[in-house]
Amino acid sequence: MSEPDDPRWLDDVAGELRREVPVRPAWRARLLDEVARTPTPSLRDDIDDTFDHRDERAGDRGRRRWSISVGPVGSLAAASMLIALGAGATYVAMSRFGANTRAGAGRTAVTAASPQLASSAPASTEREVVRFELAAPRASHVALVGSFNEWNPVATPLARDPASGKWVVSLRLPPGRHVYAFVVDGDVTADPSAPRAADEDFGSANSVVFVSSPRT
Amino acid sequence: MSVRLLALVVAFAASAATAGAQEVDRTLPSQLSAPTRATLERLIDSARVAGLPVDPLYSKVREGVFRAADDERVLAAVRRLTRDLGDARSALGDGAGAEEIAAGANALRAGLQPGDLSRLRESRGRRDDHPLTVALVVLADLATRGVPPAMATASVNELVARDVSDGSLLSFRQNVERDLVSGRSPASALDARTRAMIDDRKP
Amino acid sequence: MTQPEVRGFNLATMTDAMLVRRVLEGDTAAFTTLVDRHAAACTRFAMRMLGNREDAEDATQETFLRAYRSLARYEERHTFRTWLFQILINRCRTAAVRRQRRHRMFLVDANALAEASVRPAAEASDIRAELQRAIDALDPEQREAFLLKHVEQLSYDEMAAATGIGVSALKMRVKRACDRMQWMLREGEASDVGT
Repeated sequence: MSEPDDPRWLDDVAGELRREVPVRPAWRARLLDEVARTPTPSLRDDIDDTFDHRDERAGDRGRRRWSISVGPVGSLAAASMLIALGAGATYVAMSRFGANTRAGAGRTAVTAASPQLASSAPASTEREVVRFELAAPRASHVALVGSFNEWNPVATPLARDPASGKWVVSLRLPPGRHVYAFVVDGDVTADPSAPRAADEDFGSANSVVFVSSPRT
Repeated sequence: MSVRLLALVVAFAASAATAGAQEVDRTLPSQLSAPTRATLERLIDSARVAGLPVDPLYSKVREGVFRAADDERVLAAVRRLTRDLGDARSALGDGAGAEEIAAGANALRAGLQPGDLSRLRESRGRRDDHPLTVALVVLADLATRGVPPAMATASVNELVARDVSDGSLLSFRQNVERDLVSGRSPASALDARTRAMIDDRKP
Repeated sequence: MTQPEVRGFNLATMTDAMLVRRVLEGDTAAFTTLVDRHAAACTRFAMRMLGNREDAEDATQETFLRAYRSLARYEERHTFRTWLFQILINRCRTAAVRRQRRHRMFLVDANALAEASVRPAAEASDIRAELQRAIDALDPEQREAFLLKHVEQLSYDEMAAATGIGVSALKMRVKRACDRMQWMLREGEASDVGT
């Protein structure tokens, strides 16, 4: 190991401290047993013993529940800012920058359902709800793939909106530029009314969605 | 130990390159062969050390795996993207954010020149709190639709110089696309839509 | 149009966020994958913080159980690891307070505490023992910041989220920890440096 006066000493120290600490199989077994005995967590849980009241940190209290819905879209009816994509719909960005939006005035935060979660100051999550739509009347299965879900074709299926007949899904995405495509019955297709990403490294074009960040 | 030391130095050296980036899975998919993964690690590490955003590279790998591309193709795509990211960063300057650089790389891929990106930056002037990401997204899109890059750049520069909002830029793009689809020439579409946007903003 | 086949899609290739989603959808096996991914790093951090394996394992176990129970509370704005470490850091802080009380009762002094710290792995090399003593002799706040930054390699933003402490304060703690570590290692012993 290099001497403390050697500028690399920190690298060596860190490297040494970073040595793998093996997990004891007995410990692992005990944990998984305990997990098996614990009720499966679900989005409706009200338990908040993540942090002791005494040693919790400000900002964690009263966090909004995570509300990504992978499945029927009905539960997201209350979602705030919509980006409408798909044939015929107007493609717009987030309203903060003054563009027209289908959602109309202002941006309403996705608020917590349970009063136990209410916090004194609303935590400003940076993610915005983005709605993806595709008109594909003869399709039997449509999914969304992109940079936000590791291009995983089973992570984000769309569901048919009974009202419009379109395939839809809403996701909360962080600010920035995201590249994506639809998978329609196994075929990859770009979003017809979204900006295109230029590269076709793998044979077909992708689309781009831009989520603006809330300005503080 | 010396290999590990080198890895540590690389890790320490690469600090803020990906600040503000999305959370992206930084493991390489096991579908790729071990030698390919090793090569990719090296490529991505070099990019990281050079201060380039690496999330787009990991994402490109995942996309390649999703599309069942063979290892060679994935490697080629990552190499190409790395080069474009580097060129975009040079053109956009050290102050450019990860998102801007990624969008800039895509614009270069669409056929824009580094000089176009630099001119875009100049058009923005001192308003560097307004990232050029959307402007670059619009430029890349228009170029893929057959609008000559120089022409597209001239129009978007005008709008950027007037600090047009991102939402308006995206509307502009959509309108130009509609015009192109209905048979209008790129020059005529750009001209009309740029003027319309500028006129709209007049008091 | 391309026809991609879904190549060997399995839990091992899923991101942490995706695994969390699966658990919430009812696939508890996905939690096992999360445990296997993060348990070693958690145990390592806890051991360096608390100085012995038993306390470290308790803290890590408790961390995973709490994480499991409140998985619906995880928001993807930070990585799962950051969120998990947030819980772990609190567990370690609580454990340290408890242990201090326990040790005070038995009047164990600082040197003996250092002696009691675990020797990592089978061999007890002088260098490793010296390192652990140096780590142990840091203020807990500095130790925590140093380990998060240089061992667990969290970014300062992640550290701020996990500890509830501002970035500039964290940077100061890391710097002081590095200075002190360097001093202690140069002096060849982990002397009690006071404040």
